[in-house]
Amino acid sequence: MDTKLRFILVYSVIVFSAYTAYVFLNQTDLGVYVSSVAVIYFALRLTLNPQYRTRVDFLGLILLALFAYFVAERVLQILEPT
Amino acid sequence: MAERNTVVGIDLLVAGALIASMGYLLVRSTAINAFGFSLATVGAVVLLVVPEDIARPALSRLLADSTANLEALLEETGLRARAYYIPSPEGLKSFVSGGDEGSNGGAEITADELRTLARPPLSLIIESRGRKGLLLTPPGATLVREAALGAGDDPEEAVRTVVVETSGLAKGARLVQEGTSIKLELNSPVSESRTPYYNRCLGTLATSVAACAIARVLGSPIRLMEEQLDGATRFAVFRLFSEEASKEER
Repeated sequence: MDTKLRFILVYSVIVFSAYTAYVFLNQTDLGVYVSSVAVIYFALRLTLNPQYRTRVDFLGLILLALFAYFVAERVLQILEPT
Repeated sequence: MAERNTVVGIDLLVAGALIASMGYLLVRSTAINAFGFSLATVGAVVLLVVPEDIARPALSRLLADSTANLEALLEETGLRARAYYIPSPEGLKSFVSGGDEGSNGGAEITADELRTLARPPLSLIIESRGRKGLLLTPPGATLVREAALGAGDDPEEAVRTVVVETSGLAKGARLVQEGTSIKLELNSPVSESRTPYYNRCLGTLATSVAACAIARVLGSPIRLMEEQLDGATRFAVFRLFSEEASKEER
């Protein structure tokens, strides 16, 4: 199978499997969903390395920013004095 | 007309964004919001990935056919020297000099001289150091340009993208650069076409397409020095013509 098609298929299957699992686990934190999507995306991008139309990976940048935001939020929550 | 990937990608992206915003604004449901977000990322992936314009077997056959005219030209002119692959703003060019194989009119040609040859006005027959040669557009030139490869990209990745993924001319590729020497290994290249003159000057089809990718990403002229088939693997050695690489080697 072509790498590009395999990337799209594998990414879709893993993302929606993770989504279904989180829904069954009653996960209500959006940060967990977004962080999982980001990790899945970067792991597959690194392993399958499909060819993109653009030289800049815009989706990767957006996911990285969102991931950083949710991680920073969680770190601040932990550091916040109770 | 917009091609299929673009339409499907935009559809999924917009639908995902709508579901995510509705999940957040109307229902306040994290699950719906996350579903919309996941759908939007799948749409973005479909949109970003380069679509398959043409089936790979068809592309490799078209490339093989395009070598036929160059084969006739090389046979007619009687040129036997190994070609230089020269990246230039006008596109990638191959120069086959009128000198003997392994030389260019007896003297070593420099990177600057090669770059000058590929500058306008471009013509088919050009003169270098008193010897006439041919300035050709190799079959992989447009393929490399369309693959959005640019100076600074990883040469091995570039070869893999163009030779393995896009054109299907080989099943795998490895590349090692040591100073001005570039060693290429192509696994299971497609069966070679009957173009002995082309193969001798520009290399076999998979090698010449790989050479286009290497010259493009390194941004310097390269020359095919030797090529041989060992079992199911084709080995090729190129020489890099750049001032920096030459200084490093010294």
